[in-house]
Amino acid sequence: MENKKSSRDIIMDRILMSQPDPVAHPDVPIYGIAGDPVKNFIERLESFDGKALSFRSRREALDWLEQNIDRKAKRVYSSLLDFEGNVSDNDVADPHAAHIVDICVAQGVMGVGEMGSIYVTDESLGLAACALFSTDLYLLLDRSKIVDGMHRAYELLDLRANRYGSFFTGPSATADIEAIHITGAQGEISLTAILYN
Amino acid sequence: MRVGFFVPCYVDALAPQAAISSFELLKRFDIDVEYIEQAACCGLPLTDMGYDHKGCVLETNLVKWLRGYDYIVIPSGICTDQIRNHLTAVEQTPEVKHIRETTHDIVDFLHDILQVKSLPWAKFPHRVALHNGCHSLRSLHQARPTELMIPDYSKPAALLNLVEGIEIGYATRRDECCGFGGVFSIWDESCAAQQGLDKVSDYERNGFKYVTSADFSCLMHQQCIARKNGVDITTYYIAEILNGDAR
Amino acid sequence: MTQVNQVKLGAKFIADTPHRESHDRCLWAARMRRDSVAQRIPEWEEMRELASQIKKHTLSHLEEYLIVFEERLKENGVHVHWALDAEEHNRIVLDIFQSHGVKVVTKGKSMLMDECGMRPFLAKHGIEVYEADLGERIQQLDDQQPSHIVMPAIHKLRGDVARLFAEKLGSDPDIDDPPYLNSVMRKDMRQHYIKADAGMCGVNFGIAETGGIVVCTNEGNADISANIPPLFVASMGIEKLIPTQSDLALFIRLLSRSALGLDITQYTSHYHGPRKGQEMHLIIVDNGRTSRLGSDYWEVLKCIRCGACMNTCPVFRRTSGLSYDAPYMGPIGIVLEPSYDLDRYARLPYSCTHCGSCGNVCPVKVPIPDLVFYWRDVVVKAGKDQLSHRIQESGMELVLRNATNLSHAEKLGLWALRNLPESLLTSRLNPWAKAHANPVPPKETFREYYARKYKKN
Repeated sequence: MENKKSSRDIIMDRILMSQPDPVAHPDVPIYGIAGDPVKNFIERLESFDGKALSFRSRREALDWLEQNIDRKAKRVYSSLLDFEGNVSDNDVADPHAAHIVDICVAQGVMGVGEMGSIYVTDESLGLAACALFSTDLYLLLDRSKIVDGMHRAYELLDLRANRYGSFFTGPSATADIEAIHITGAQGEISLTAILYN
Repeated sequence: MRVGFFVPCYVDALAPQAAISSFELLKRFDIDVEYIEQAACCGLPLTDMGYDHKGCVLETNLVKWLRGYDYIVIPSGICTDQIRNHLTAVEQTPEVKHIRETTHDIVDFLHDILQVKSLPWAKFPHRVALHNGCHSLRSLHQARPTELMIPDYSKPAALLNLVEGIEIGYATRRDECCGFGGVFSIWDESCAAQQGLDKVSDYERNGFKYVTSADFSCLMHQQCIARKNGVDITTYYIAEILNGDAR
Repeated sequence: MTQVNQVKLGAKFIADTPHRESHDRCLWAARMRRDSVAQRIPEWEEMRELASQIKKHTLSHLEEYLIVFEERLKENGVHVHWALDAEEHNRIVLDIFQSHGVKVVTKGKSMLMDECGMRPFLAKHGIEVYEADLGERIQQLDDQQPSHIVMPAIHKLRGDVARLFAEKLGSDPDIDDPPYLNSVMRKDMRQHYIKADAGMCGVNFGIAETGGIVVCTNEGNADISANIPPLFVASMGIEKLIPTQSDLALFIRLLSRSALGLDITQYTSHYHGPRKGQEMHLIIVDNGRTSRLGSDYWEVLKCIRCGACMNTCPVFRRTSGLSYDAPYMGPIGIVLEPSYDLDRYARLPYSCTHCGSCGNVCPVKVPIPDLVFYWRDVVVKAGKDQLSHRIQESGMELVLRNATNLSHAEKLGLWALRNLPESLLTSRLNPWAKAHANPVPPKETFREYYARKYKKN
């Protein structure tokens, strides 16, 4: 006896029977965004309650972090090779444990001027859980990696290269109670972009 | 140019002044205007309620009366929309298509067909709120709805600006529906009433005493709500101002 | 089967002035923010048209794209499941959870999981699902459906939330400050996140080309749910697919701007497989979508669930989402729900003034205003129209079919307006009179004016 048809095949059959007449895929321009991408980036990020700090070099940026992150009082996770935290990968081998993290320092892959977004990946974050559970998140970003808009960003990115990739735009937020905007919902409470050349 | 003037049912009975001003206004121009006495209703209530397919007798009659003109002019946005966009129960013969394409409300006709550039007889030295009815706005495209990111334009405002002394303004929520919605205000009187009250309160907050619109149905609804709630506004159908009848 | 009476349920909300005013103000503010962010983008209207075409293109080639999508998902290490209906969807979820010994689940927003009634089903089988979105969590604690697809608890006032949290989460009932209430939620959810055996969420977009899913949220709850537990399960309707990564730009640019008037959601996250040591499942669901695909109203499937139509709808803003008593509410709800259950939702298409604003704000141009007419027609032809409508219709048809009948009716009506006492005219028989003064009867109709002025000579 023939096997019962799978739900997949039934759905596919139904679709074949009901698909509307073919509509062509339109040509979508890569819309550019007016203005200086870095300036736009900072302005948009701030509109989402994110902060942006500008440094002349990565070295300067790291020096600032050294001076301003208190490893004695806080539990710090860093995904960077040139900045050390005090929470080891071992401590957070089970991501549930990442809730201990106060401060997370990680690398941003790309910035988008149109939105003030920073693209991060599981690779650039080290462990995404640490960024999401942290109170303060610092994302380093090479200024030259800031593109004008979303169209350009998606042209350049290879989404498939990472299992998790996300545009972070300001700290987590909610407006679910009377539409009042509140920063620091479930994820990080502050997000700072550390820009360098 | 042979123009048929169609006065829809509610205008005839409850807003004859809208029709009178429109008719007299048309007569000022060099066109041949004929009142179509037999035509009665555009069929909107049936379409509105989902009985479009039952409207065939009505529409067949209507087509019989409306045929043979270069243009049909209607002093009501909502009924014009019905003829242009919903006269669909009858067979779509070339005659029906002609009627649908050449039917205009008074604003469109003056602005697009006659391309009126002056109204020397009209004077209205007041500040007046212009209410664009939803059908005029979003189905007849007489002005830019605030949702659409297209260049700004407004045919009713362009015409009103030809009137001496007038100052046009808008409610804060300038093109939010006032809740008339045809049969809606009977089915769902509590929502229609709240929408209407919000609208007239908006005028009141902005200090408007006069309201005008290319849709008398909205004005009737707003006026009756205002009176019930003690809000002091006077409503004029747009042609009353354009023809110099409103003072 | 009783029909949902949106008018009656809505009237209760209208009568509750503080709630109605807050609801209306919050959603109108979202609409205004939408206008101002869209205004900054010169290609806004072009983008709506392109997004609509991409959706139509995908839906008209859905089979081929789903085949590619499935293939790529599997290459990415995702377990793919297919569900014909809500029941099969819920069973698949349960099977996955039972085989992994799952007890505690944190969950991001998913309209589809609500549509399937998944949470109550899992609860019956001893699995605790914690809604991790603040609005959804409020609604879960209050045992209510979401009242808006983007702002699930927007019909509530802060005091309602304070009382609810005090009762269910032990917070201070006297503090109704929203940041405080948010911190109560944050603290409460943390203890569930760190115990969660599995995370779940819905899907905004599936990308065929890359075999990935995109989830857009503001709170970070979906990202936490997806990234922490060893098991991640997402569900998507077949219509959520788009062809390529570069198509995504348009939709991301439109979605949050349309929804809340914000440029983007704080987290716009792409998942292309499980993290190390994790298992990822995606359930692709039909549940009536294929029958919609083959219908005259297939364009409802373009919807990207932004909620812009709700924010602009003058009826929705005054009556709130709960009055539609359905998973999808507001303009999109009234043209979608009848396709799930015509008996139950036959009255919904009448909860509309035909203002047309929803069609203009829709980022993918779902022709909602046309579909309202379509569904009223279907309701009537299926014989599910209300008796009162039938009576009104037959009366109108008779009166309105020609000028003679109409002028008789007019005379009668005007006579009544001029001569009957106000008390009789404002009786219960005249629903108009509850809120309106009666129109002032004119001295003569246009017909009479014309006869007097132009026919005498």
